[in-house]
Amino acid sequence: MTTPTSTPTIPHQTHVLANGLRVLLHPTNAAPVVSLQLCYHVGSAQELPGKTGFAHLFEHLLFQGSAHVASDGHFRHITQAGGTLNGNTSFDRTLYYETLPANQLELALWLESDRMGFFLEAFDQRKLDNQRDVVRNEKRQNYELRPYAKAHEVLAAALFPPEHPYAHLPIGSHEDLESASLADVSQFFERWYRPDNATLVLGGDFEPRAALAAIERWFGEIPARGGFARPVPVPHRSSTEVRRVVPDDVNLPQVTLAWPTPEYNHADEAALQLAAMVLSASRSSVLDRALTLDEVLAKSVTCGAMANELAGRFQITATAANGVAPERLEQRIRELLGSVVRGGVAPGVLERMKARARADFVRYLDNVSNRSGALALSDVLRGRSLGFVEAAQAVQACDEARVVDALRRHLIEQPPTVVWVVPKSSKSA
Amino acid sequence: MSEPAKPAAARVDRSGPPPAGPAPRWRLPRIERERAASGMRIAATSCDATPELLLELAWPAGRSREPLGREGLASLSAAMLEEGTKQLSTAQLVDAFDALGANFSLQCDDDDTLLHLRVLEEHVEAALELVADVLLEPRLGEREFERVREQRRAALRSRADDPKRVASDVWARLYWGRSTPLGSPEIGDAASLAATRLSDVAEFHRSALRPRALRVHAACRGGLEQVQRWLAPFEARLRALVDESGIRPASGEWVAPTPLARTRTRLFLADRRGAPQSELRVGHPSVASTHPAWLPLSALNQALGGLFTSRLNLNLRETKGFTYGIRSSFEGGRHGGPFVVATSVHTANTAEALREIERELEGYLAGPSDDELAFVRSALEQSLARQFETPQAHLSFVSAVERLGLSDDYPLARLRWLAESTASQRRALLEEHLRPRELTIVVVGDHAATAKALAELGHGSPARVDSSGDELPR
Repeated sequence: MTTPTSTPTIPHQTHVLANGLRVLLHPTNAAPVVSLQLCYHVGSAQELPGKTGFAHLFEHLLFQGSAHVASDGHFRHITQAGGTLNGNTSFDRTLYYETLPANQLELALWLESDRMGFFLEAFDQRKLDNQRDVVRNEKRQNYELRPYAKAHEVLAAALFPPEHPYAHLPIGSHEDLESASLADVSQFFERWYRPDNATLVLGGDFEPRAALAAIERWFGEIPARGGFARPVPVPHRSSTEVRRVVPDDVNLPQVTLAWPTPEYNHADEAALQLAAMVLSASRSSVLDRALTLDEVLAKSVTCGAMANELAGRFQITATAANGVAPERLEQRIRELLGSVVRGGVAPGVLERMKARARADFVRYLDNVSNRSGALALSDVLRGRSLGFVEAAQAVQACDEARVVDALRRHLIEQPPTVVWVVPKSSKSA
Repeated sequence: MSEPAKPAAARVDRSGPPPAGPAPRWRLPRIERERAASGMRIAATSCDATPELLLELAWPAGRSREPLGREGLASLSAAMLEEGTKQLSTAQLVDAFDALGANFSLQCDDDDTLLHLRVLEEHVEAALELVADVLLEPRLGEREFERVREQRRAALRSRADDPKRVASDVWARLYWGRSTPLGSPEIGDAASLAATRLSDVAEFHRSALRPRALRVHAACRGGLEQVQRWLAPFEARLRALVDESGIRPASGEWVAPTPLARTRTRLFLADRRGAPQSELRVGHPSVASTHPAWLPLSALNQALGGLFTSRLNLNLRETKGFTYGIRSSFEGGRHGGPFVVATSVHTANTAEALREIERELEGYLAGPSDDELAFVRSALEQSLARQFETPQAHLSFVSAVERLGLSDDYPLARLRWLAESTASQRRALLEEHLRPRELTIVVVGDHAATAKALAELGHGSPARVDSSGDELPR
């Protein structure tokens, strides 16, 4: 499946059940494993005002049993069968998955189809209250206790206008989580958790015809809802520089510069990906080298180009070294960006970054769970199951002129949103 | 698209889990070993999953070998090995690995410094030549050393920002004390960093990197034979090294670290004003992974705190909602790592969570129920079929066997023990190795909000410690 120098592809077949459920089969007998990935096309972007955090809370609730499965049954059955499982929620989609020994395929189909078809029957207030507490502790742990993490919500709200679906994070607010009711749970389920709003990918060691028949058997009776349309991108371009200062229990300031960028499948996606690598994928990249090797201005620096379904963002985050003020760090980052746009990319860099991207891609796809998950996400979010392979190929085809041009148009000609996290004792901006 | 679903001719039986098919065939990775002429030991397994070499080089430059007063030397030495070779600067070295699409990293743990390389077959020779340069001809430059030290000063300054890190630092200090470097953060402290010279790094590296102490763990297509072929040039350089520079044997004074013993439960608190959650570590000294009890204990831990469906997680997360997650483990390692429970709980529930943890540990002295035992056996046994899918899983298996002193069939040995042990043997094992009345409890959280309730746990008022774990005056 993988040859060293070309971008790997993933052989699979696509079926659509009568109820609209998209089924992708990726048979491979490299290991006695099956992986089921079920991606629902709903995320925090679909949350209504006052209901932030609900899509993610709902993901937790879906592990609390269904009509024929006890409240801890999902974890219990999969674990006992030697499998592993989880779910995750982003702006645009919610993914559930289980990877099991190949002989346990029907178990995964039973559990996933039962919660898709028969979830509400077994739901009650106690489950909601419990998982609300768990999710609020998840928020405390990952966004309030972790140093610098308070900036994530501030950045999202500053980067996009308040009405933009990405102006709040999937974790939501404590107040909104507190107000979630049983009625919200049933409405959300009825609205979004339908077969015609999902893609099921089965990867691994199975006989395709028998597997498709089994999927029909378990999922075929669940009614479609209809009325799902592909979301339309909500591009945003900022016109003025926005600045925020977040005091936190930290000793070293941190500077983030972020820009709204285009959505998935946009012509600039690959160039922005490659630009992020040029800036900070390795210790000799532009930002790392200047800020941590040539001078010690930063303790660390990261950079990412994150496309999503409705919009994207480009983000640079650097934590200051001892005695370095955020002003200086920010100014140096801006100078370095400008120098790349003016002077271009040093010889050899793009080739190295492409070699790295190819190798990372091969490594990421070395297991059936990641391959199946990538197919599911791409099918739902990019509208093409192999869209992520095409995106990787586009990175390989990208040249310096496009990288520099993308940086100019999105990072130089558009004012950034700047968030400083500063030690609580020094709140100067 | 709202066409009605096709009426199902025969409804499936949803009333319970469908029967599984016949168990799939699988086998444990087979480890082949060889000692090269230089003395370097090689252990490799064959894995066809990807056309890559995954390699781990281990040598005994671990934290436990650091001289007192030079805590952090092992990780500083590992970091310095990434700072270029005689021929290549830091950036050039990074570029050279990037050009090959190779993943290359160095780290250290209690016992060893570990070099990891992952590279496509077509670039193995070139990557291994770089690796040999890194190990045998490191630059160890003054300028690079000053820069790495400056970076570490920043890392030390921000260390106390993260309650999770504070909890592990406090735990390490209270567990190991000050008589071993394991009782300090892996990057040392301001004093040890200031005291460490580049000559310390050079000496630490030179004395530990002896061919006879060097161990290679690998996974690739072709297994040991292929690895030997690839390593031949490196092996030749190692042999030359033995001949020419006569590297010294390890000094004999080293004493294995021993954790501090506690005879009753003690409660320590590092204050973090306004913290929304308390980080908790609860545990006591236990056995090394080389001890015959470790595998059985690691199996018994599954039902206590090793799985999502364990007693601790079902109680504190799924019933009480105090936390996002809680785990326990017998950490093993070569020096008697702890049994430890780790979690982060809502500040308001801190004392109650600790009470529940203590109650669960006490309750588990009776051993797992028959249902729990059957569950764990099934989970461990069946999961083996999917555990060796990737080359990384193969390498991790080789590394665990070689570095932790486990048998080549340890996953099966653990299952045999679960199948053959009696309830009274399991109870006896737990009574010996699970000690809920001799706990060290670390709370990193808001003192004002938790102290009163904590004092009511029956272990006295919490002793206040700083973010390094040193006791503050009362």
